[in-house]
Amino acid sequence: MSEEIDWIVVWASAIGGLHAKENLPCQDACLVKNLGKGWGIATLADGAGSCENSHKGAEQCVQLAIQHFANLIHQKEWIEKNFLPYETEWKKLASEQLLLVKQDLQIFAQQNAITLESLSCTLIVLVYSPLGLLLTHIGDGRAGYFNTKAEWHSLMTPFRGEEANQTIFITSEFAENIGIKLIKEEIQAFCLLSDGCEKAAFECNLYDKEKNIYYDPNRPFPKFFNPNILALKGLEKQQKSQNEMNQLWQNFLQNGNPQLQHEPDDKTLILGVRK
Amino acid sequence: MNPFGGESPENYEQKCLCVLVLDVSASMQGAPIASLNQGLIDFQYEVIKDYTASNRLEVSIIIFGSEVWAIQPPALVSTFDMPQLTTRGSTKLVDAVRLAIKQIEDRKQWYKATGQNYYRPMIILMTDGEPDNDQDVKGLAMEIYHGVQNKKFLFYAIGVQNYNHAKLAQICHPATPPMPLDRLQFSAFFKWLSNSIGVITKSKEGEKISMPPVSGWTQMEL
Repeated sequence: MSEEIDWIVVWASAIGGLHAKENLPCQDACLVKNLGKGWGIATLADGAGSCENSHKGAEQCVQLAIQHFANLIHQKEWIEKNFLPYETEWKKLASEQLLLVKQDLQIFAQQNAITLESLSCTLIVLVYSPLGLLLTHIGDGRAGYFNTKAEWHSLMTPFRGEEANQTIFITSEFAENIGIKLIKEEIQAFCLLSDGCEKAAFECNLYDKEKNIYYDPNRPFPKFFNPNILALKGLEKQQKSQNEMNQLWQNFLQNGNPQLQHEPDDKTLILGVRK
Repeated sequence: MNPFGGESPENYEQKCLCVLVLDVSASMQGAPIASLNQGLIDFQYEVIKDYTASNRLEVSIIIFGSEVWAIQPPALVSTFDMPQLTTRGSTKLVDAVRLAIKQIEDRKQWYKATGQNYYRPMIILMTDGEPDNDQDVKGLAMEIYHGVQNKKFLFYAIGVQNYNHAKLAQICHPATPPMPLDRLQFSAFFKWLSNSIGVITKSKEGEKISMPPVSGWTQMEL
């Protein structure tokens, strides 16, 4: 079964309005690796604005995450065995890989004579497969999936501090705050996004008139994602290259609708769809 | 033609509260109060021009003379008419700042109770004098020190014309001493403030951000 399943994945980061105005680099990074037989890894990192090398940290982090999680999958022979771990095992293994990412980041910091803290960034890693999804994350951002009943669900709850702009990073003492999720069912699509995209793509701060409260349903917005699933399938039919699709996606993230256009933060979004 | 598209949901923005604590004592009569009024109008205009800041910034206004008046409760800038200030009496500065601190705490509780995210609130004090003799300057200085130190709020004081720098410095947190307003450049200050808030409301925790140049009114570091 798994050999018949394949994915169309598109990914890009677009610089936010504030960073563009300040001539700062985009501090988000993302990367996707196809492992074959319907398996793959999608990851994104969002550099801390307070840290001068966080754009380098984010770039390093996504590469290291791909490397370590791919090693894990190969060592455990999950693809060959057509196997997903149980949640407790996934939590243990994901924590170990995240620590390896942090250790390698420390080495990178030493080699470049910079501090580990200056590389601070959040990290989301998603393993997609014919059997379902494995997710782990440190910090904020959002992730979701589209099941075979055509329903969107969230995959993670972003870590937030008391104030609007606070979170934790891979460089923090994160052991107690690792987010884990395991979905053991066939899915049609998935998404990962940095917080710069959340107001555009998720219902995350709505107002309940009756109760007079604001609340976060943490729900992928179908009117945002569903047209893009169709568009992605259309581009694949047109045999567009990965680079062409990613470029179109980046253009969309830059100013594809008013919310994206006005967003001051850097924006990263990965969308994966089963063929 | 880009095939990607899609609507965004109607999410509300996180809030950033700025409490303006303004001296309207008798010594502000004439050109100073006129300049301050014009500055407030310019401030409102500048904030409304900024899409993100206008949706995130809540402003409240407390004035003080021989009494303290909370004349504008916290609200998005586009939702109220800027009041026209007139001078009245002496300088109950400490009472006014204490009311601002209380207003911030109340607003934070309201944000929490209603499920809203918020940035660290800020107090902007503008005065041309010094507190009345019956005012508890030392007590207020301690409250501000602990409030700033514990990241409950940001506090900035702007001195107008013949203000008492030493007294104002006593109140301020050591990291953010008072700054003199050059002549009566209220408009320049408020324009700078709106630009700065525009940057702050788009920033992340602790982000090193380049504030707009302060030329035209004073030197200020955030």
